[in-house]
Formats: sequence, C-alpha cells, structure tokens
Amino acid sequence: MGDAAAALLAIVATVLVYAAAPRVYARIRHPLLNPLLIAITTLIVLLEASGAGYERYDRGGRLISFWLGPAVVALGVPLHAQLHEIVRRGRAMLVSILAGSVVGIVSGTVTAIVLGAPRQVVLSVAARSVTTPIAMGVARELGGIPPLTAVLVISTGVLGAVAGPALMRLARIRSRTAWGLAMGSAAHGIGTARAVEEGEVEGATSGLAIGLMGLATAILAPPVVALLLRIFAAR
Amino acid sequence: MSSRGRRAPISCTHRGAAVAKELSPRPRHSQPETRDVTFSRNHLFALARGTLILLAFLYAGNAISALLHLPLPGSVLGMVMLAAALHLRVVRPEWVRPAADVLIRHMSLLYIPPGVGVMVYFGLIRREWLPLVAAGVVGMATVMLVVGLLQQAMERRG
Repeated sequence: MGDAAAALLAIVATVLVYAAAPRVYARIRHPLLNPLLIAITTLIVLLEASGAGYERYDRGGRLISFWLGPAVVALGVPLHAQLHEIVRRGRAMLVSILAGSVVGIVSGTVTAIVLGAPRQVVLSVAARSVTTPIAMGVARELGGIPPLTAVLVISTGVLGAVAGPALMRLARIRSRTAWGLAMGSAAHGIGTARAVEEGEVEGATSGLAIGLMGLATAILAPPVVALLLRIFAAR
Repeated sequence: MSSRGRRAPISCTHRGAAVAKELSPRPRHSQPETRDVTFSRNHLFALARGTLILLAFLYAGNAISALLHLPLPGSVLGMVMLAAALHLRVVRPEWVRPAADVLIRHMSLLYIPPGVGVMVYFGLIRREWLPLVAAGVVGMATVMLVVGLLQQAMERRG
C-alpha cells in the first residue's frame, strides 16, 4: 500500500471508530469504560492484529492530531467569553489553579520518584497534569517522552471523567464553578466533555480551567521539577 | 462581554445556529445534542475563515515562543493572544466561532492518535506500570480535590 493510501485508511478508520464508539458505549454502559477508551483500544487491537504498526498508522494519525494545536488556540474563544467571570472570581480562580498546578506537578512527580521510576519516566509524569498538546510541549521541554505523557494525560482524563463526579460528591464540592474548575484542571479535555454534560456553567469553567492550568503548569513545571529532582537527588 | 447575546451569524440552518449557541458562553436554555451540521457554502466559508485565523494565531504563537525561548507551547500563547484579540475587537467572535466550535466539540477525536501511540510504549509501561498508574491516580485526585475545595471555600467567603 502506498503512503498516501495508508494515511487515508488510517484517517478513515480513526473517524469511523470515533463515530461508532459512543454507540458501543451506549450498549455496554460500564462505568469503567468511556467512548475514547473504546476507540483507542479498538484501533490498537486492529493495528496489532493486522501487523500494520503505529508508524504507518501515524502517517494519517498525525494529520488528525495536528489539529490539537488549533484546538488549543480555539479555547481562546471560551476564555474571552468568560473574561467577566474570571475578573469577578478572578482572584479565587487564580489561587485555586495555581495551587492545583503546583500540587499536580509535585504529587505526580514525587509519587513516581518514590516508586523508583527512571528519570525519563519521572519527567514524562511531571508534564502530565495538563491538556495533551501543552503536556507534550512541556514534556519535550523537560526531556521526558512526549507520547508517554500523552498516554498519561489521556488515561488520567478518562479516570477523572469516570471517577471525578463521585470523588467530588464525597468531598461535598457543590459550587458549580468549583466543580467545573476542578474537573477541567484534573481531567482536561476529556473531563470537560463530561462537564458539558453536567451543565453550562460546569462546561464553561472546565474549558477555562484547561487553559489556565496549561498556562500555569507550562510556566511552573520546569523550575518546580528541577527543584524536586535536586531535593530527591540529594537524599 | 461583547459576544454576549449576539449570536454568531452562521448563516446556514437552524441546526448550525443551535450548535453555535450551544457552545456559546451562556445559552438561554440548554440544547439537545445536535451533532450534525448541514453544510452550506456560507458555512464552509465561515469554517475556512475561522480555521485560517486559528492557524495564524498558532503559528504566531509558535514563532514568538521560539524567538523568545519561552517555556510555553505556541498553542497556549496563541490561545491567550486570541482571547486578547477578541477582547480588543481586532478579531470578531463570529469570525472564529464556527471553526472553534467544531474543534472544541470534537476534541476527543484529536486525542485518538496520540492515545493509540501507547502501543509503542507497551514494554516501558509494563516495566514501570506501578509508578505510572500511581502517579496518574494520585495526581488526578489531588488536583481535583485541591482546586474544587479551595475554589468552593473562597467563593463562600466571598
């Protein structure tokens, strides 16, 4: 098969699986499943079974994931639309997000270090706590493995969307803005898709949290991670 | 904000308008799932214009990030610059909204190829599964609780 044909096949297969996954999910409705998880697993099984390999798949896949860049830029639209909310609850949101960003970098990184992960894995984990395109950029910056970071972001996103609502019920988080902000900062785009189901306020604040969290973590991750590595290397 | 209440003039069908409204900051009432957009020539033009603007901001962000050696990905810089341009009315919301809505709505499609990339790292993941899983679970839960509880507490205090 030619390169162009393989790329086209990869794109068509991805879009088909993306379109079919919610229907499969509607049939099974298992709490540990999620349409995105179903789509990814299906494609991996297909690729493993056909022996096509990721390299060939990604010739087409790249043309899809390329749009994550413009999609992040597109988040500027809800960011602008919610500007009055940011100004009104501005200080609270900035404080929560800054705290969340530092906690995200520190808790993940320290857990990985303590459990004895190699340096590259630690650096990939450190960039994990933000939305995929930003996380991959941060991982590259830190010297981690960007695709591994992407995998971590996606799995934690699925986890957050699946387990997050129960966790927040337990913690008695009832404010709708707090709910959305927490979902978006902990589970990014996938969490935001879940937040949109919850309501308009939750969806908008969740989308906003993706951007703010990404911004805070992109700036904070390099110095915080350097500091953590120094602290733990000294032990 | 300036965009509030002014509906993006996606001049196609009622459905297209419904989609645009659904993703707008605060619709009057929630809309049912309307996934299909009937394409018209105007809508295609609106999509193309929006896409070009988004790409322009992305590449401007990339260029500035590279020139100034910023630790920020160009896309994040582009997002902030787009919000600023919308605020300063250099760019009108209805120019970008058709494309932005499609990208945000189908963001999970864009995650599939990097997600499939996990297969390349099966070996590494099998060796290091404990720190990876633990860091993911701990990181997700701590961020969610810290952000949610802190935000709620500060809102209550006013």
